[in-house]
Amino acid sequence: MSAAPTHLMHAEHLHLKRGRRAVVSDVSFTIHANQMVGIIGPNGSGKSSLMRLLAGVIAPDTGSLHLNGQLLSTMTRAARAQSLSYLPQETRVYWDFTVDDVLELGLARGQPTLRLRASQQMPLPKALIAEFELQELMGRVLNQLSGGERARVLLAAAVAGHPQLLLADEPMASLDVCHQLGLMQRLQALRERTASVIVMHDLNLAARFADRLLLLDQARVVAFGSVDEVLGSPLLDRVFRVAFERERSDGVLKLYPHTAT
Amino acid sequence: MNRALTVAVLVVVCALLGVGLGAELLSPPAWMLAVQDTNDPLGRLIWQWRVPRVITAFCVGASLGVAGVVFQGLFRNPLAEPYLLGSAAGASVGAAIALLVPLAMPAWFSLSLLAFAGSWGATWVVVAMARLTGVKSGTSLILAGVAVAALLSAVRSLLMLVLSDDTVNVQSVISWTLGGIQTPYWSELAGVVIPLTLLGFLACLTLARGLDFLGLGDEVAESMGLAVESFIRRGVLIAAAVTALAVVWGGLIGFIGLVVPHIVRWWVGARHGSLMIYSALGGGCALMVFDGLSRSLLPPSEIPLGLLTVMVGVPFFLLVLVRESRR
Repeated sequence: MSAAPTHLMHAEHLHLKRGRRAVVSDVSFTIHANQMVGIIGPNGSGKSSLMRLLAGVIAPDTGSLHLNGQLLSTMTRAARAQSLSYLPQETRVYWDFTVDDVLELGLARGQPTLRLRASQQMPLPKALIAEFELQELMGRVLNQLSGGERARVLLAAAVAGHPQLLLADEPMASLDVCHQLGLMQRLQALRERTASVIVMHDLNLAARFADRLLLLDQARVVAFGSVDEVLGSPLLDRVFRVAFERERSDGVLKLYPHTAT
Repeated sequence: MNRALTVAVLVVVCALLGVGLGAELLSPPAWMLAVQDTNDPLGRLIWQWRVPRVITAFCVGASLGVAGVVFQGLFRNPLAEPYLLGSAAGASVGAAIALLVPLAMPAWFSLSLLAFAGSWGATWVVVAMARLTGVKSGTSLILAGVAVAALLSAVRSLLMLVLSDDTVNVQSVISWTLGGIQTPYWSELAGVVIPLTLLGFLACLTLARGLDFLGLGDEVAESMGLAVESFIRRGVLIAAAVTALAVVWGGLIGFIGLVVPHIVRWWVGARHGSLMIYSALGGGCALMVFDGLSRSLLPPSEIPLGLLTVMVGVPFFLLVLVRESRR
């Protein structure tokens, strides 16, 4: 059974075990183009494992993943890398790569072999630098930037090649409120050309920016739907073991965690 | 362009130094004149002995520099290099067997083959030991490398004791293990040393982009289209072959593969393509000069080249260690 072409990504009955423990259990969902999907769930609910599966970094034990109607496991590495971009929770960069280096490598997604003929350095697209306001950072060493600047550069590199889908695992971790907001606004602006799946911890950011939310608990999908459906559901309180107080202002749902139950 | 010019000048200056340095110091005009006169014994000496040796020193240094870059990139460890990883010691055991045991193969072939097998095997033993400890830190890799290298040098000494007879000059094997550039005939130089060095260098260059990807972490590299596991296997194979080549023609020469890529990294940045090109040229330059110094510092005897590079390399190694620990 293959997915209809309007589906950007389609997951069916994904299972993954680590040892005897299931870390992803019977996960199915569909992501459409131009959407930002937030993945929420308590610690250890399998969010990062699911992201690795979607990125193709690890293969599921059973189940299937389609990208544009094509089975992910049958795609060439190059084709997969060009349409899917992945930002893990913490990107450790081992060498003193400059911002320019990182962006160039981002543009080289899917081409892990250097061809001598193509090794002629292409100038970095000005639009990319302008879009992410990187003018000031060019030439600087990535590992010497502040957390916010670094996150901006890594995001720019991840979407430099215009992938169809960006998978970002908690890109807001270790950023201050201002930079979290900035990053989310960029991701939202990108939506027209790059859909995204973002693991989020801050439920209020999720409420404000995501188009759809996927709630995970103990490796399973507990809810998948619109922001109001997922965050408004009493399931949320049960999963996070917290009583939420909900309030709506300017059309956006706001959540205040109360007593732990 | 400026950078390329600087390096070109450096290569020429180091080559001239390499040819001129010896028990007697020769100025470039003096030996150039001698080389032009076919009847001059000094000219013949330079042409048949000195020049091939200097070219071989360049090839060995270039191979060590590039192998250092590849090992560092593969293991994402700035301390990885053929000598500290045990790859060079493995190659030396293979080469010692080839030298001491009569085999039904041409000497240069059995020497290269066994050196490669030793280098490759030793590197994987070290990698496996480092993985076994489960520690992701770079120190476990280097500790394993140093331990394996110590074991292999004991094995090599034992082999030399047991297998040597009157037909083998043990003295020459010992001096070679301390590092010393061999002097090939012109035919060997043109038919084996230079082509293999070029081939090894080009093979390393094909790894450059993949090593860049690896620098962003395994998972990111994998998601960017690099088959990480098989890439590392291929990289170790190529770097081991390049190391074997260097060991066959230069013996055990430590720290060139560590020091040169480091200095080059400060200069040209961390991208592996340019890092390889400049490390090859820089390693070649360094060994041409060090080899010259080894001939000229204590005439008439020659200081083993490996001793010189270790004396310079160890303080640098400690410097890198301190910098890394402060990260």
